[in-house]
Amino acid sequence: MNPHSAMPIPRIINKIDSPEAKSPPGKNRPNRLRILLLFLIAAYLSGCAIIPIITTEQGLRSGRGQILESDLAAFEIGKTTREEVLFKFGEPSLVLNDQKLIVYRWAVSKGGAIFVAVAPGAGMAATAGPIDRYYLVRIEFNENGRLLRFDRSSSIWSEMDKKINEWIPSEDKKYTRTMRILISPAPTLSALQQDADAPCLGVKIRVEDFADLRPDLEAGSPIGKVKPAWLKEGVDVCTRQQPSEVVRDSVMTQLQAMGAEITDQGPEVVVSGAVRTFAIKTTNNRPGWYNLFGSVEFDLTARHVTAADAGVTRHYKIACRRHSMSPFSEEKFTAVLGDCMKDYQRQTDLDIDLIWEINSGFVPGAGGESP
Amino acid sequence: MALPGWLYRYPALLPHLKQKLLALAAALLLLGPATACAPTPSLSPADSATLENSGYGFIRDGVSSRDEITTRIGLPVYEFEHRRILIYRCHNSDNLVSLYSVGPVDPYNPREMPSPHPELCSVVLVFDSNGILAKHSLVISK
Repeated sequence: MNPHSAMPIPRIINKIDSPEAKSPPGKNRPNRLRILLLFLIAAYLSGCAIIPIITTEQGLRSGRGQILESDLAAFEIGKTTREEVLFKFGEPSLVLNDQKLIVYRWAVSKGGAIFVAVAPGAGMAATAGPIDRYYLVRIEFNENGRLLRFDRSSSIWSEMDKKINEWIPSEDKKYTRTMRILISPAPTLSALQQDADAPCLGVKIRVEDFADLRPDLEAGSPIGKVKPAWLKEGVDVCTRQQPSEVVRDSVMTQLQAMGAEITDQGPEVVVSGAVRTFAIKTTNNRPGWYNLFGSVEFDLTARHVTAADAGVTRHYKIACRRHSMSPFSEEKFTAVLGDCMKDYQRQTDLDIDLIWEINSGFVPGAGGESP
Repeated sequence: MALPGWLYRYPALLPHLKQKLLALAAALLLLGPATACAPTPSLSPADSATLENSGYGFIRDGVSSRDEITTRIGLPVYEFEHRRILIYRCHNSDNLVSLYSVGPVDPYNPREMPSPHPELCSVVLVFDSNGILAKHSLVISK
């Protein structure tokens, strides 16, 4: 039986709307329930419905805290200084246009919404989400740091990035919300911890800055881009440290774990390197299941200070993979690059030639003994 | 679950509605955290003794130098007017604050805090032309 044909919907609606159906004053609870049921029925017929539940403003949904209208009352155009504003409200949310525009923003909870999806014959699913009210305080200063204009506004629909840009005349200084994930892949110690049996115990090593030979390189350029099909623009993945520093740190950590002493004073061995690849890639095989690939490629050279021409060079090319339910998992991006560095450390642990070379430097001119 | 009496005049709806109302009730429960009755904290300057009580007695107006402070704490999150005004981020827990250096703002990504952080506070330091601290303020959410 078609469930729709059995539902005398118009009669219910008429009944609710009819004057006799209205509750007596002060007893509006039955009406609310009927409205809720009406939403459910609408959901049933149309396939989905959103039931907003608007409350008074409460709680903080983003930002550090609110700025009230009364807080701005003392501001005087041409008199109030940037110093006074910062002194009163502390760290701004954004500082734009050569520090002439200071923005504070926050969001408060304004209730929630229930999303109901109905598939006739298959049942119903309901979930809930918050409704936020976004607040924005724009404060603009002149060249001398005196207040030029300010306002406070709010919206329940958007975070008002456009409104911020209204006060920035120069196109190249407009605010764009950069979709960016910042990660800090850190070197991890290998299983081989420093102890009396460490193969390079006491060798003094200087680790030079690593060159960055990645192609099309710009400062702060991303190491990868995540672009799920449902997102209009991709999200850049960047590292807080330069990749060459991350790799260098990993190499230093590994050498320390092997017993070496990292020092710039009187080194016996100098280690240098160059990073060729340091990248993240994601693929999406099926909804909600992402493969995150990390790839690291770099050269490493260890040479004695007494024999600058000699030495050992290694080329490492490592790729690792992890799975993630989310395409934007900072933790997983960090972990997959950490896996690559761990793999390098494992390779070094087993690299007898490299260990031999480093130890040769420990006894200058002696050629070294097998470690 | 009891339904309003008038609905029983439409028996075809009943089996569906009971189940759906239960799902709806579950969704309403999910809404709880979003609509919880919590006050919205406001940004306001804190008692000047808070910093001293938190072990930052070396931040003293007319005494501390900019170099001394940046050496001890690290790089500020914001610098204004040729380093005349420095802002440090701090963490406030029961009026005990701890300053930390997160480094300067990433020029490629103006630093914003997308999630609520009422426990984060700011220390604003204003220096005179000789680099000596002229005044400072601790701004907290309360």
